[in-house]
Amino acid sequence: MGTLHPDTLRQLNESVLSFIQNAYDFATRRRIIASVAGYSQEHWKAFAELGWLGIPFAESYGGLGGELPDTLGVMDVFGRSLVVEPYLATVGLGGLALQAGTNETVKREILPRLIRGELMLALAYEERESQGNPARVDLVATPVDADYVLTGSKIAVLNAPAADYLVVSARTYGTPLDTDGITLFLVDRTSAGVELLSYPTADGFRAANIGFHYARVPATAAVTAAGQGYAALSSVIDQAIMMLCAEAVGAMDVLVKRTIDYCKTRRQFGVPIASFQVLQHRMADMYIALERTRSLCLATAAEWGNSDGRARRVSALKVQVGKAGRYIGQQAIQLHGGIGMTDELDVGHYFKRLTIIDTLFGNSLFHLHRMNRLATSRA
Amino acid sequence: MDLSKILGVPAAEASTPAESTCLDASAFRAEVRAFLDEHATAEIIEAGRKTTSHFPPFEATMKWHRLLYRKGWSAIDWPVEYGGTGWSAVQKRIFREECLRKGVPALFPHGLRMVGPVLMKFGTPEQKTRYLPRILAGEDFWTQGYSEPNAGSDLASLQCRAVVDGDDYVINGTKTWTTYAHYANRMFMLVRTSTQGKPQEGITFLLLEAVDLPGMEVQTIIGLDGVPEQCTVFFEDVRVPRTSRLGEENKGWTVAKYLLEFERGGEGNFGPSLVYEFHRVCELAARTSDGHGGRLIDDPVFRHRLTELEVEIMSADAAERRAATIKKGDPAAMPMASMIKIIVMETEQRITELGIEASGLSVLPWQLAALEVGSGVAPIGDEQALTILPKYLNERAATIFGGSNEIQRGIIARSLLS
Repeated sequence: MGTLHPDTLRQLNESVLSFIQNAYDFATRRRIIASVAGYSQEHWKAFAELGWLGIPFAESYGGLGGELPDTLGVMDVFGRSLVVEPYLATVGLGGLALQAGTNETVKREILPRLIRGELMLALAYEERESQGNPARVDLVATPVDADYVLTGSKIAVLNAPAADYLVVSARTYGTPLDTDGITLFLVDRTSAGVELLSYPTADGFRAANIGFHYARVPATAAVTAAGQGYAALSSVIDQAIMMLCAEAVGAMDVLVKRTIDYCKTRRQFGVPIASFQVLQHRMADMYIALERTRSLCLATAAEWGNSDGRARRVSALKVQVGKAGRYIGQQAIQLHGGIGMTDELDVGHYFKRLTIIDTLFGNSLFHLHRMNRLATSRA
Repeated sequence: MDLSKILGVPAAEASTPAESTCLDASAFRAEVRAFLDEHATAEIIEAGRKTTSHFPPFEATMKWHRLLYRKGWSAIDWPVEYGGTGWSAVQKRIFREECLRKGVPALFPHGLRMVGPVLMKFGTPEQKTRYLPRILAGEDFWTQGYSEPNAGSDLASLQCRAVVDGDDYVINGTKTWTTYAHYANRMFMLVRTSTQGKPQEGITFLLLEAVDLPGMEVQTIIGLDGVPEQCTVFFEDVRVPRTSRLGEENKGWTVAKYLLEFERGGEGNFGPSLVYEFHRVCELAARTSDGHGGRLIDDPVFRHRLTELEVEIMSADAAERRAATIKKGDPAAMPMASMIKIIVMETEQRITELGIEASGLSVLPWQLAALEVGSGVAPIGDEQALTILPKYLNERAATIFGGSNEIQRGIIARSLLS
């Protein structure tokens, strides 16, 4: 598990729960989603003040000195309330990518400000051809004088519209599928030649597809050694998957509870529909899907410190979350009936979030293949 | 793209049985195709392409209905005496396949396949003369007032009251999941006219001339897909003449059950669209990267899933065609209709699930404006992927509406055990 003191962790998790319970009901979320920014700056400030933004960062950068598993309590609660503030994008993806890099100057400049809530990040690694595979990098960084020139495009960059800086994977040598030759760069989102096509996502978040047209960045903006960024990138994505899966378990937990409550109160044929055996068994199956997923999630987190076989365990968790999320989401709607199909009820929004979670960072199919490849290479 | 090369199966034609034994089939197909090429406007095809629901975009679909009417092809399932085409099953299927190939939206079922057939069976001569020609011509759109907030699966418990007052019924209550009521100019509905006996025995079927009668209020419901498709309709002392009744008073359940048999399938409607949607998913997968330098369509695991789905589609299609040969009123018709409803809707849902997998990250952008017919808003990413997630979300309703799949399985079980 993590490295934070259990008391610290408990206080953090309690602060998340109480903040969310007081300030993040469904109506609030709807207002935030409909706003121009798509997140609440006030909330973000509170996240910083309560210390959540600093959990997995070293104390030397102003962080709490925790590890990835220490963020999972936050993610679970965020999943329960469908929090749209870009915690995963800024802390889990952008921030951890910088921390995993080797550029101390960048870390000292960016991370303390991130932790204080003064800036946001996004990780731009997916491309039209990558579909989950961080080794597939067609975007090229060409050295020119003391700079690099970036040419290519990225898609599905979570939080890009609000990010001050983008962490961009670029190919500095090799061919598009080589793990060798990938470098991560820190790029000011407002740089010349960086063009965002921004959009809301189906689950209420914000993202962008980004074109890089001869965007010039100084060589000092490389956050990893030239061509050696793949290991950092790949491990950051695994961490983000772990966080995302904790969020998904929180969301599934709510859906199962909501469905049970609804079946107990909804009456048809003169009785609560929960009295029908076919629905009882369905609820039992939803519970099974939830608890077996939660178990795998907890086990994966518990073994996080052991890097041997971790990537394969992360893929297994992603597959399980995809499968359970689909089943629980679909059945939650089915058992709610027509009302579950409406925008007004939160159930559909949990369903949409779980649906999108399966498509992010490689879908179930991608991770099944990854498990197989990792099994082969280990044998 | 030639899908037969990718999948080893020919596209639409191969799914038509016995076409070779029907001598004029190819001539008929050519005739249909020529008509579609000439008359399906860009707006109508755009509406077909942007359809994400069982209920395509309203305006363009009604325009298409009226164009088909002028050719005499709007009600292909109706008897000739009411303006039907008199086509054989093979011809109807060819017509459906060609419509899908052209990408035009399917016509709304509410008039043609729901209230139309019940008018033919239960309507007075006056009702038939008044309503059937207008349904045929696409002049009327009927919304269905069946469900209520507390009467969903348990439809017979409906509470919306109609009380006789002189020559009128006075209606009070609420109807919900009234599809496109905000566009409709007519409404058929079930009301409670008696509380005596079993709940089914006090229900009456009414035909409403309008949805904006004094005391009626239509409220739209935004769906998961962000679109106002369904509505709730409130009735406060709404007066309609007693001649609005279809069938006898307190015998509306018989009418409603007859209608549901049509609604639940067995008409050979869904097979071609399953095949079509399947091919669309294959096309998408042929464009989507597998992340490793290939296309998803060549991924053996994905291909395996596609092929399993293909078997589901073939068997659903075959069952639907077979069910169409069973006469209404045959004891086998009811469980068979329920079975078709279950397998067709579940297969549709599986297709949309695979659609998501086939789109990769293209499903991420939420683009309601780009989905509007005539908006001129360009889609972000793959144009087809634009519809994939809304379809998946909307399609969840398919196992809920028209009697949920749980209710349908109950009907089958009761029939097996009786």
